[in-house]
Amino acid sequence: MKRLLPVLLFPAVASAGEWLPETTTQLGLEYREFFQQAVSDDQAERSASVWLEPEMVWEWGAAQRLTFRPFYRYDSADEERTHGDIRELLWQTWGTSWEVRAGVGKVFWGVTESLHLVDVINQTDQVEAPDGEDKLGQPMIHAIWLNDAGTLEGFVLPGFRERTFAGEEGRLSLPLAIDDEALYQSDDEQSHVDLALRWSRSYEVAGWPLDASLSLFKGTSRDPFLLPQVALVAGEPAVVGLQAYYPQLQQAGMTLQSTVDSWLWKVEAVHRDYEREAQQALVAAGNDSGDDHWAAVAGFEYTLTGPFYDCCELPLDLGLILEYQYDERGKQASNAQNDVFIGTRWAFNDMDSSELLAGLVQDMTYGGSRALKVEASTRVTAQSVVNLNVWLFTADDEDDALAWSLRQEDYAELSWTLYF
Amino acid sequence: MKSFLSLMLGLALVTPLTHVANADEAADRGLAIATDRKQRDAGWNNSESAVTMTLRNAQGEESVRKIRSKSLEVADDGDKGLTIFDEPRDVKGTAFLNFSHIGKPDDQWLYLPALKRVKRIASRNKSGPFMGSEFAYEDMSSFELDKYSFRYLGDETVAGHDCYKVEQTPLDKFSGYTRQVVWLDKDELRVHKIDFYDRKKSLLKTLTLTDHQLYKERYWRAHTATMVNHQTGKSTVLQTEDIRFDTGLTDDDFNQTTLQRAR
Repeated sequence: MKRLLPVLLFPAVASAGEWLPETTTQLGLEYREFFQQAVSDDQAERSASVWLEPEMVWEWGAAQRLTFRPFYRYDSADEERTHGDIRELLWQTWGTSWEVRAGVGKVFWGVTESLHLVDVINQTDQVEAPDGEDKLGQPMIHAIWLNDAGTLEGFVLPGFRERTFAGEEGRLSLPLAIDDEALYQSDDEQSHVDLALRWSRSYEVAGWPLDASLSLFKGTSRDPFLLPQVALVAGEPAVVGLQAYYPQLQQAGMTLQSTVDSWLWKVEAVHRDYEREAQQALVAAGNDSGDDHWAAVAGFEYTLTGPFYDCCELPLDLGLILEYQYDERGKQASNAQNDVFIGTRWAFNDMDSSELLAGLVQDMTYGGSRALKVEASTRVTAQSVVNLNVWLFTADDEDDALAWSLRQEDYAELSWTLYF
Repeated sequence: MKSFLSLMLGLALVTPLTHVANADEAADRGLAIATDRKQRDAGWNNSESAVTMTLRNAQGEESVRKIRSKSLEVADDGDKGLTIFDEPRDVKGTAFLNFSHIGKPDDQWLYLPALKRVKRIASRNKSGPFMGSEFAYEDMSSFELDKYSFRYLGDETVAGHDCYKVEQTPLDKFSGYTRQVVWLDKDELRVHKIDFYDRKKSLLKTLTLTDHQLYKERYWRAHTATMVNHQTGKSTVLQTEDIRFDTGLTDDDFNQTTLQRAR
C-alpha cells in the first residue's frame, strides 16, 4: 500500500516539470498596540508578528487535485501565538454530480455575519483573531452528492484539534492561564472520530430565492468549557488556572436565507445536546451551562448601491447589518445570549478595492458589555494590501465573565500582506 | 463577460429603412433589429475566455485585473456564467457565479477562498460596479429582448460602419440607466458603440467595441471593449486574450460546488 499510494495519487507523470505546483504565497507583517495596561504585569502592550502561508496546488488527469497550504506565524510577545498549522492538505476528485475530498481541509457553514453557530467542522485558531474567523485545518473525508433533492454532504472527521489560546505573556488574555493539557469526556480524547451530515438546497418562493440547509454533528465539541483548576495556595484551596474541557456533543443546525430586493434575510439556529456524562462532569466542576439548549442568530443585511453617486460621484456601496443573538441558557451562556449586532459595510469600489466594516455587539442583559470592531483594508501595490483592525471592549459587570475579562484588551492592529 | 463579447451578430435587415413615420413604427423597427441581433447570436452554446481588465482613473493611473470566464447559453432564460479572478493577487481564487434571468433578478454567488465561504449577493444591486471597474454588474449580464423596450432612431456612421441607431430602455426599475443608445452595423449587426444614460437622464458612459472576430463562422465577438465614464473621467478596457467555443461545458459545471473548486 505504501508503494501504491503515490502511484494512485500521481499517475502518469510525464516529466519533472509537471510535478511543480502552482504556488501562491502570502507573507504578512503585523503590529499590535494595546491601549490599556494588561490584567497581568507579564503581558505585553505591543507586539510584532510575521506570518507566511504558501498555497501549492497540483492538478492532474481530468478531475484530480492536491492542495497543500501550510501556515506559520512568529509573534514577538506570545509563544502560543508563535505557531504553525497545516491549513490544508487536501486531495479532491469529482464527477458531474459528486465530489470527494480527503485529507486536511476547511469547511464553512452558515449565512450570518456576527456569529457562526452552525459552523462546527473546524476548530477556531483563537490566537489569530478574537472574531473566531480563523480556523485550524481539520482531518476529514468529505463526500458531496448533488441530486434533485439538493446537495447532500457527509463527513468523517478522524482527529480532533484543540482550540488555541493566548499564552501567559500574550493577549488577548483571560484572567487566568489556560493549562496546556485539555480534558476530554471521551476516553478516545483527540482520536475520537466525529461524524457530520449536511443537506442544502435553494428554492424560489414568491419569485425570490430562498436558501436552506440542515446539518447534524455528532462528536467532540469544538467549543470547550473552561473549568477552574483548584490547588492549595498557602494551605487554602484557590483557583489557580483554567482547563479546557471538551464534551461529546450532538448538534442539529439549520440555516435559512432569503433574498428580497436589496435585502438578505438570514437565520441560523442550533440545538445542542451534550452527553449526560459531560453534563454531570460540568455540574461537579461548578459549571451550570451544560444543559441541552438551543441558540439562534437572525437578522438582515441591506445594501444601498451608490447612495452617494448622484451627489458626490462616489461609487460607494453601503451595507447595513442588524442581527440578534439568542442563547436559551441566558446568563449561563458565556456570550451571545441576548445581544444585538449592528454593523455597516462600505465598499468604495475604487481601484484599490478599499473596504470598511464596522460593527458593534451590545449585550442586552448586561447593558455595560459591548464590543466594537472596525476593519479597513486597501490595496497599496498590485501585490500588497494594508489592513487596519481596531477592537474596543467595554464591560462593567464581573458576572459577564467573558466580556469582563476582555475589558482592558482594546487594541489596534496594522498589517501588510504581500502576495506573490 | 459574455454579453459584451456576444453583443454583435450578423446579417442586414432585408427591408431598407427610408424614414420613420411614427412612434409605433420606430418601436417595431427597433424591436425587429434587436430580435435579429439576438437570433443571429443564438446557438453559440458555450465558451471559455480569458480577459484582461485595465482600470484607469482621471489622473491616468492604471490597475490591472485578470479574469477567466466560463459561459453557457441557456434557452428561454438568461445565460449562466462562472468568473474566476486571477489578478490582483489578493483576490486570486475568488469566483463569481451568475445565473442571468429574464423578468426576475439574477442569481449571484461569490466564493471567498480565504473563508471557504459562498455568499449570495443581493442581485437587485445590479447598478453597482464590477470589480471596481466602470462596468456595472448589469453590463455583464446577457443581452435578452425581454429586458428592454426598443426604438429605432435612425442611421449613422460609426468607425466607418453604416449603422442602425437603436434606443433600448431597461424595463427593470432597479437598472442604473434610464436608456441606452446602441449603434449596430447593417452588414453583420455587430454592436460598435453604446451610450448609457443615468437616472438623471444625463450621459454617463460610452462603451466602444472594436476588434470584432468571427467564430464558428457565425458568431462575432469584439475583443476590445472600452467603457469611458464621462462624469468621472475614469475608464475601463476589457481585452479578450483568448476565447474558445464548445469546450464541453454543461449545466453541471455551474453550481455552488463547482464554484468552490473553480480555478
